[in-house]
Amino acid sequence: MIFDRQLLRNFGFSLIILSIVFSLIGLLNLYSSSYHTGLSSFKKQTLWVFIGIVSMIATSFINPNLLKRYSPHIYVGAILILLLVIFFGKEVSGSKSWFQFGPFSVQPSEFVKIALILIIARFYNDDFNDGPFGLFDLLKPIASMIILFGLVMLQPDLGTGLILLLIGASIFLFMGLKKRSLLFILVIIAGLSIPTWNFFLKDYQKDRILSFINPYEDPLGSGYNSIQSQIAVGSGKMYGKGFIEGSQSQLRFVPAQQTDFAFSVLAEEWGFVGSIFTLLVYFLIILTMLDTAGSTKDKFRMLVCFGAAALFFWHSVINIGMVIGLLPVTGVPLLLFSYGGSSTLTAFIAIGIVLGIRNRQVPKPEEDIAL
Amino acid sequence: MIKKRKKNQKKFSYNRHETRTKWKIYFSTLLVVLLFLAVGYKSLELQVINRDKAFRVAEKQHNSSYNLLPIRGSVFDRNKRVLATNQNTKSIYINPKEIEDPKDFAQKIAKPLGVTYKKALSLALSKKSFVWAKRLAGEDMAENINSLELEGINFVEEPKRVYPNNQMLGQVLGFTNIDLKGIEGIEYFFDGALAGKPRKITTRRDARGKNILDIPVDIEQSTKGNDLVLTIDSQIQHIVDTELEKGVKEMEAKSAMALLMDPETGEVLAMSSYPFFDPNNFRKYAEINKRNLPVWYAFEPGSTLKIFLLAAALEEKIANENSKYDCENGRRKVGTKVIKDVHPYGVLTMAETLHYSSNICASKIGEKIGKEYLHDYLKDFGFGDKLGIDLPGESKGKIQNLGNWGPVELATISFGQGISVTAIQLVNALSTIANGGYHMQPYIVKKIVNPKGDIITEKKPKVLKRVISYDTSNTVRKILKGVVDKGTGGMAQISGYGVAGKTGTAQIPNPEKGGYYADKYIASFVGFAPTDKPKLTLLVLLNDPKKSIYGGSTAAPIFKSIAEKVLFYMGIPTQHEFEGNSIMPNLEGKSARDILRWATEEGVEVSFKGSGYVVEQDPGPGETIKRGIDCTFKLRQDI
Repeated sequence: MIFDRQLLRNFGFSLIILSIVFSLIGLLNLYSSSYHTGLSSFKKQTLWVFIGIVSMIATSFINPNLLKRYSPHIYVGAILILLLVIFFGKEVSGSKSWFQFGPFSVQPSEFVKIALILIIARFYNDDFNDGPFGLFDLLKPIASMIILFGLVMLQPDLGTGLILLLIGASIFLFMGLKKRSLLFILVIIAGLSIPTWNFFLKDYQKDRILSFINPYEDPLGSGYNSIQSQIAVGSGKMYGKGFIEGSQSQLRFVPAQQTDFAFSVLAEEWGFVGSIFTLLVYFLIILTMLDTAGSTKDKFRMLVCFGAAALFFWHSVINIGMVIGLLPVTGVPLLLFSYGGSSTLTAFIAIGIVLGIRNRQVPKPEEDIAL
Repeated sequence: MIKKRKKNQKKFSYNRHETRTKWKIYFSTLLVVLLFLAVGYKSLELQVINRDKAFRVAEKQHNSSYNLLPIRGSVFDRNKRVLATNQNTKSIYINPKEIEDPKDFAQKIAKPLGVTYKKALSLALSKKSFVWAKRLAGEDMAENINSLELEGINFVEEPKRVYPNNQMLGQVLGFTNIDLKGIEGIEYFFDGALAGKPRKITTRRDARGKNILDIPVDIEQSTKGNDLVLTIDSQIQHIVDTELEKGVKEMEAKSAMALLMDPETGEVLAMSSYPFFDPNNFRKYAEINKRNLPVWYAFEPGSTLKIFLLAAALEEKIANENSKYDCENGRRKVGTKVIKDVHPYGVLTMAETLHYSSNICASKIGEKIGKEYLHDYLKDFGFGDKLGIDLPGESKGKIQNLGNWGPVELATISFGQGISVTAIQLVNALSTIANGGYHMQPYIVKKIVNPKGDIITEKKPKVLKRVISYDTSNTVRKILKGVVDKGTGGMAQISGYGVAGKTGTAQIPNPEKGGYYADKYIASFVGFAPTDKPKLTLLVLLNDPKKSIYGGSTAAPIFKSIAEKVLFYMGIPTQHEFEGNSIMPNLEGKSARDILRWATEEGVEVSFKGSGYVVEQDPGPGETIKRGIDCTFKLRQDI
């Protein structure tokens, strides 16, 4: 790869700064939530963030065309790694989602999300069609999505599976679907939901959905997490209780407060002001990605950026929605914020790819290019 | 790909594609904004609109708080001697959530705690995170239990109410319950001032119910209660208690009371109820024993009430001290009833009526005053209503409604039957005589002092009403002095001091059968001293004395021994017999005849030098006349 000087001149610092600021807020928050347990997760996460930032910058130097060329290979690699984890992974509370390397554990299903974005973008890029697409036109990308989804659900990991489906669906909808196809899909989903409920969902998953509808039916059981999280958020009031002062979190009433419910610690300790500020930073990251998508002429690059935006968007909506009680409890972390090396690294790599695309944009010519 | 293009028969326009993509991106951005707004709104709802709801829930589940007793104010006597105070004592509580093996815990703790295994187990299995095991445990027990080093056992210091003088003033001070809430006496009446604000300890408790100690714990500082300064003088109280107990034992009385007041101010200096009561161990005593008799117990006063009959008669100028009454030799029929005197008398002067305590003459005086006036005077002297002393449980006593006063009632009330009074009413009324006619507000709490030492309230003597004139009070004083000097109160005489007072011997009404007990009497003596400038009014009352039934022979000697010591303690100088005239007047220019008339009147020995009119005198004007030494006068013929 030839070093391109233009790359440095156009280097988009806004995305770097936003992502670093956001991950630092996450670290600060993790410091607080691991304060009474010896800061071990804080230290690990600091290392992960460091590795992530380095990876982000490194990724930004990879030419997007290379990613386009090798996206099928990356996709096959993703399938292999998912198969490996199903056979050789470490089982943690009923899910085989982890590889253990010494003190670090890696969750490959996180990285798979990028592979999915790349392979779908590649598909649309190769297709000259300009939509709307019928279901049969999309057989290939839907199949690649379903394969990954199926492998993730074998672990099982409902949260990641859900994200995969949502990313795929977002891109499909974005590129346009025929009305009949859309209708057909909706009918299929409706038709499948009853047998899914009856046969595929595990009891705890059913409980989560039921308790979302009425958490107070069983406040000490399945509704507990949602209730405690909402109490934490609400008791933070306007300005919060202060750093390491969030009683609801520090006294461990908030469940999974370093991972899935990390945001409720922030909301409790920094209040409405703190959580809105953090949301705003997150929102700006997504906006920058969408802006990059809108200003690139290459279809692959556009869709990769859009896919990355969808990745960040769904993670944030599902996670924060869960924290504040808008959505049911699902194991979806808040990217760059929740404790977890794999998701952090994935997020930084995704940003790195967008960054690479953004940095390579030439100023747009004024006149239209006639074909 | 070319194939596909053909199939769809569509032209690919880069430009059109780009514009559409732009719009789609805008649309997507809009969706993102909308969803973020939804999230933001929900945050707003949780954190700003409904903030207090969640906060309260959070506080409730994080905090386990309990109150520690505040430091209750102390009670002092007028000389700042401690009457009631607090002592820090260890209390033991259990946090059952910290106990890992409740059975083992119960086994180990039961014996040193002095409870059954079952009880200990129920403590250990409690669902709360705070249970008292033993409050105000002794030092030994706390030490024993501490040495077991059990998880879940905690100690906290709590103040315990102590009364260092034990049974002195027991019924007056009252007592508190274990939570330091005043239950009786001053502790009850002044609970608001004494209590202070409890110390609220809030500990944090984590999701598993364990108390977290390294997270800052809110301790709401307690506010110490206010101190009380009483009008009581514990030296005087001690004298009263000692002499009363001695007297009661000697006279074999069932119970007794004494009340000593400063007649000038209405301050209560001592107040005793016998048998005594030790508030440190209030559970050991019967209810009746906790009563503060001088304010609670209403009794028929008997002859002591004649004082006020006399005052009314003099004030209304119906009679003077020399008015004569025929005592009809001990029997007089009034209506359907025969009134009797203990000793039959013939014609007595007003003063002698009192000296010898004739019921018959009293009834005649009562008739002369008339029931309306007598009723009003008794009311003015404070009988029949609460005086409003700052102590709980005050009785009103009872004066019949005027409508019920027939001739018999008028007669009996005149000598103190068919009416009931409390000791505080009687002493306060007599103080009115002693101080020149002012009915004072009696009180026992002089000052309320806050913990910083600032006086919050201070009571000053207060005149409720001017009841009789100075002259009347002076005459009554003289007559009452006569009661002691030559009448029934002889045993109350104190050498060196003038004592005025009145005996009382009253039957005790039988509440069950009506009428009176045949063999039970209330013997009392109420009086003041010194007569010229009274420093104390004192009532001694014996309930059912076996040695003798008469106030003159039972209560009067106790009165004497108390008053004698108290006057000495107060540092009141002894006086001569001739009260009011113990100071030498200026007699210059008087003739020898004038001097002799004066000397006879005052009972002074005189000697003369020369003749004519006085030019020099010894002692000089304003000096004290010493007993047994002649006053010498130098006379000259011409001026």
